[in-house]
Amino acid sequence: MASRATMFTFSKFRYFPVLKHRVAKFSVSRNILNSSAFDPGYSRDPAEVFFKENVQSLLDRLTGRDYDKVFHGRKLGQRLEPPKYELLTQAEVDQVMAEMEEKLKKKLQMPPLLKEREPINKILSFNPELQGFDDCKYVFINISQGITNRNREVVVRDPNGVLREASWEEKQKMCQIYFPTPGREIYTPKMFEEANIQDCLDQGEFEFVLDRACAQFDPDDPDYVRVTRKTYNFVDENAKFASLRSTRHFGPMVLHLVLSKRMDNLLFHLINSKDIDAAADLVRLFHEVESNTSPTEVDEFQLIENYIQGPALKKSALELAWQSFLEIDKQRREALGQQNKASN
Amino acid sequence: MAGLWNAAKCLVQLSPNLRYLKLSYRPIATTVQPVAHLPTVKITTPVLSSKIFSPVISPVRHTMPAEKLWKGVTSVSNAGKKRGRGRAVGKKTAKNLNRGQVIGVGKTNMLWPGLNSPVIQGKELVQQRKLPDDPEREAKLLKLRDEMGAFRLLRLSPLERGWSGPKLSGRSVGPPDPVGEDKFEGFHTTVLEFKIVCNMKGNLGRTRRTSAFVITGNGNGLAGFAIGKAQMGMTALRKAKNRAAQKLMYVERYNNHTVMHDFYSAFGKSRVFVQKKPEGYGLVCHRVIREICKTIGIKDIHAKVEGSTKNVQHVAKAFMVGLLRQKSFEMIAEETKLHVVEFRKERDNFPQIMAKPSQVKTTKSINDMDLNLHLNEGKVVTKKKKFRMISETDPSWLNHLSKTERFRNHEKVRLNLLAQYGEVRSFLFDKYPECRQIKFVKKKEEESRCLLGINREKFRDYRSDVLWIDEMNVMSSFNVCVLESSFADIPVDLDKVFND
Repeated sequence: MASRATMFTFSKFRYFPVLKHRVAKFSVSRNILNSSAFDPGYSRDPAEVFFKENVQSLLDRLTGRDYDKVFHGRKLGQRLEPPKYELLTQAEVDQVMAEMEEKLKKKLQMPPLLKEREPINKILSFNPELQGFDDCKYVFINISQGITNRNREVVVRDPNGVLREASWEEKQKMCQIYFPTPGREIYTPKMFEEANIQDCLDQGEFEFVLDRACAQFDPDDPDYVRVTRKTYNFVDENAKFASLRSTRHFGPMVLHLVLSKRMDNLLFHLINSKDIDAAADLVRLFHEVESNTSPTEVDEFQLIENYIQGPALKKSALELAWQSFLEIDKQRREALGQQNKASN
Repeated sequence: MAGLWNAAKCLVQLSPNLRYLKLSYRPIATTVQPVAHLPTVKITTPVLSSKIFSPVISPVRHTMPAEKLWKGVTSVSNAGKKRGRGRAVGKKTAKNLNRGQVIGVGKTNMLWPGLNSPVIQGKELVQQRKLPDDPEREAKLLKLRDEMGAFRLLRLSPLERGWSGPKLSGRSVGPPDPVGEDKFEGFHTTVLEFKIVCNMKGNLGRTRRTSAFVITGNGNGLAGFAIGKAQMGMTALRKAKNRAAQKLMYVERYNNHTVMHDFYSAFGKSRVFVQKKPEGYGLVCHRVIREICKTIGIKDIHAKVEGSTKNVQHVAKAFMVGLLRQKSFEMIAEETKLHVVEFRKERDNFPQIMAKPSQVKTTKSINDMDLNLHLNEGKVVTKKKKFRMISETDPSWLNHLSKTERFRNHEKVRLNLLAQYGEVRSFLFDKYPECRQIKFVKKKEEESRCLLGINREKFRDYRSDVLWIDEMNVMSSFNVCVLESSFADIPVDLDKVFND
């Protein structure tokens, strides 16, 4: 640290007992959380699967691209402005739409599905001669530019003489003070408390909850894991999949469901909404996750049927939905054939 | 007899200074004559003779009948009327004190056979006797008299009132009368102008009529306006309302809440500049335009009237003409041969194509650069220069800015603290729990008496680290007690409290 020409600052919490106290309290609440740590029940490390190219493209296809959904009117907390109008030629319209496609890609970039991070317990040095030097902690942070907040060095000298690396919470708080991330607050918003999050979900504000969690936490933060997995499960249990379609959270949710072996509800929903391409993609994703292989079947119908006959957990419901879909599909084909004959 | 007595009593109430009326009371004996058609039964009323009082009015009474007296007190002479007398609001009017009174019924509830009851009931002779008192009688009488009191205007709720005072303009006067199958359900009419107009005639001189200018509509795009004239105001209103209902026009609106686009319109010397506004903006415009918008169903616009703003009919016509001349997106697309594209900030400026032309041109003219430029045929609305405070560069202003800069985030900090703790507290709160904002609560008298005792305890609790805040509290509560002069009741040794 010292070898680099870095600028250090340190916060002395001597006259700020509130801050000191808060740090202590925070860690206590963290302990409570950890004791009942959220176990998503994954068969393997989600990061291994999530970043695979194959999986990414499958998740991307599953998400869908509904421009009206991606660019729906949002409450920005600002005064509304009257819409602006422009008269555009075809070339200009095409250009603007191309820009929008880029924007859409950015908006649909999926937050990674990770497991909870390990707590930091790294002691740098222990100087017993400093014991009782003060009754509060000293926090040092490297505030030089060009370092990501994750790699930023933050160290703490405890009153008992221990110099250690700051915990994730301390680190996040110091970084937020010196390099504020927009949309992130120093203290966790009350919305994410267990009692309040349920209210948000009951109101159907899934996208809002997930967006805010993205802004507030790192993707491997235990709180992020808890909030998002709870939301995914709620969406799954209440079959509200349509509300997350064409948002950046659909991919991680699907992967979460597949990893925790509860994708049958989603498959049921997709078959019922006659979205067979997506249903087949879901089954392909299942094979990717389970056996790291792409399935050999090319026919989508066969693929889905094999899944329902084989590893599906809710066989009877899926079977019923699949049969009724096949029936409707057959009728549709017949009607189309007759139409074609008539027109010929 | 009773009526005159009451009238005289009332006169005394109304004008105690009337000198020409001298009243004196003396008891008189009264006998009630037996009713003619009943069998002759001699009834005497010895009970009454000493209890009834009757005014004896001095000889003036003979020259001034009661009616005239009443008139003199309650009305104004013709000459006075011309000078504008007696027009005050809530002036006294004559009360008929006989209302609600029945002969034979009085304070004492008596049964008088032949007066307030039949003489014979069945085969028995009804006896004169006292009945239990009716406690409500007096109250009922008083209530009746109170109701007769001063003349009061019909009270309208604030929403039903017009623009100003008791005038009719701005008031809603209900839907038009149904004509055949047209029932005009959901319509309402608003008076925009209600005035007296004159005309000179050779044989009649100046003839006056009332002119009513109203707008009627269903709040969903349909509206019509008309003028009605008649001798009587109500007739003029009815005429205008029903004519307006026959001249309905349909106005295009954007998402049922605002105008299709910004526009300029003029009629006579009135010019109107209208701007499209987002939902929730409201009607920020001339009151005439506001009423028209409410009738049509426009909820959000900004309109500026320039030139003649007082000519109601011209303002209304200018606005209506502008509304009717609005172009739909399809029309604009066909005219310009270009796509009409909408960008909204809340949709992250996503280009929403509102209309496509049948043929698209590849080059744009200068008027196509801006939609408003095209709509106004190349004319641009003059923008007012931004108002600059003279003192913006003044040293005293800069001084003020530098002094107040450190408070710039106080409001946000307060909000955050309130959200987090439910109160505004200091960062020292953990160590010193009294370091928080004291909420102002109005003290009641009893509480303020007790306060002294409470604070003394508090004072003792914190004796180890004597805090000025608590001392201040003790001081202030002393002041309260002294001010309320209840201090003497509380046995406190002042010196002891302060020296402890």
